Amino acid sequence: MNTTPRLRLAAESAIDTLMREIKGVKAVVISTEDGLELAARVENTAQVARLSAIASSLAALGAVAGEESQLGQCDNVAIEATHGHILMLQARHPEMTLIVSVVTSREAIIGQVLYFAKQATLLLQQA
Amino acid sequence: MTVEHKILFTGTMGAGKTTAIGAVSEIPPVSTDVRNSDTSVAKATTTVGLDYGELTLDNGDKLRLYGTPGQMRFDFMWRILARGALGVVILVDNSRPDPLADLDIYLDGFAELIAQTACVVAVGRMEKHPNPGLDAYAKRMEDKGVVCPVLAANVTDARQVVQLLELLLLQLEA
Amino acid sequence: MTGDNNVSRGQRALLSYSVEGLPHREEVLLKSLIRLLDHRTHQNWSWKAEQADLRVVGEQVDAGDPAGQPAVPTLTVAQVDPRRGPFLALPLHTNALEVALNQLGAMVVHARGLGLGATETAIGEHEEFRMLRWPPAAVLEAPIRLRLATLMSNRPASVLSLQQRSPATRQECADFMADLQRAGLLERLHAAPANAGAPAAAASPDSVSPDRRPAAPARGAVQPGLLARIRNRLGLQPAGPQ
Repeated sequence: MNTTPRLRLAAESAIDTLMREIKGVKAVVISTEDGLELAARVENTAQVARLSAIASSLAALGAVAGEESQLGQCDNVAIEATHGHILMLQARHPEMTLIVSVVTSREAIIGQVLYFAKQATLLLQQA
Repeated sequence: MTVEHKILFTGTMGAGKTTAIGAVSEIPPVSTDVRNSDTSVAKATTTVGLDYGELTLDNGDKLRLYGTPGQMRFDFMWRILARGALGVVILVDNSRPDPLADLDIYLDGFAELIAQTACVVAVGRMEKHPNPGLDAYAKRMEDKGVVCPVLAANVTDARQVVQLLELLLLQLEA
Repeated sequence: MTGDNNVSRGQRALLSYSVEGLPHREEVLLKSLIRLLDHRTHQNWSWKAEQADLRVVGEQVDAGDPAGQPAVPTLTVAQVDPRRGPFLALPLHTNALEVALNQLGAMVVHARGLGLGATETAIGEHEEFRMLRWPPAAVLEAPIRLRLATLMSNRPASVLSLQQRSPATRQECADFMADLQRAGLLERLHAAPANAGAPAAAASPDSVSPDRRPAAPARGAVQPGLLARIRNRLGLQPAGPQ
């Protein structure tokens, strides 16, 4: 994987922000479109070993769903699970498209997560 | 587990899964190709979700053809796609450094499906890369307790892809 | 079954050779030359560890067959002819090797026709066998054999069951099984009760390699007619005998 130090730094910075600002966050993972992890931060109990690959598949399937329904590009995929949420957003940086995955507990407020995640993604896109 | 009307194509990046499906599918294959960030493989894109093609049977049912992602990190997709499949075609690229090791990955990854249904191993690029030979593949499969057809194939040729499918059918027919 | 049988099939006889007592370098060279000559020799030769149709031996090795099979020819390869039978001088020359192989090959084929030669058990039509491994190209020389081998890859078969499931003639099925046996790729099974849906029958107690395939758990049956429809859609001939 050939990522510039600049992009890596921007990714780390995005993770810092999200881990700090989102209440109930358990993990933030930033990965390539084809499922390789670029940077990650994880709270104790969270497991993100394969999240990068899974996020890439889901993002790709989300893209197909968006196209088939003629709704345009897929921006994010949200999963609501018994004990929390996973939000996966596309960060379309000129160098490469990244996927930002945010895993939260049930106590997180979805609106807040979406807001901060989108902000961080926008910044990352412009890095 | 109900048997669905689907056949899987798997194999390493660049082995020809998307091409094989495209060769026989009625519809242009739906693919989830994204940019390949792995600089060790000279291929621009890679499948991260699945490839999808279809054939309509005479009673209106669809036979669905699925291509899986090749890399091991997507083995969760292998499990999902393998459910209820009629069989699997493993495509191997003989120009890669260790094609037998590649084969091992899919024999292991799809072991249960192979044991329950049918499998065909198609080796590509053999004209320019004759080694390992087909007998080496046969022996490797024997080591894993698998006996199934292994032959050279060029999946850009629709007739050869149809032949691979026929070899799957032969194994499934009583 | 006459000695001409193999040739009349339009296919070369598949013979095996073993090597004993040759210096490593010569053995490697011999095997390479035999492979190279494959497009010219009258029979197809492949190496086998033991119980081969032809024994190639160095001069130190006793030319008498340890297994006590007088009909197995021995070819001595050495610097000096020990004058005990067929001989090839070192260094090996392709032409001389080709001539020797063709002569000895003809002898083996003839001996087979007379029912002599390396251990070969007759194959009964109803006897079920398991194919141990996908056969090499030499065994698959005729296109129909690709189908027969495929039919045998999933489950055990007998000559008759192969005939019933394919467009091949009984002779084609019998010849195929015989060649598989010669290549050491067949394993006899217990005569299992005829039960089309049963998983692979247990291997006989004296079989060399137990069936290492993972036991296939039960699976829903394929919808009747589905496979035929797929065949039809792909433009393939219907399955079974034609």
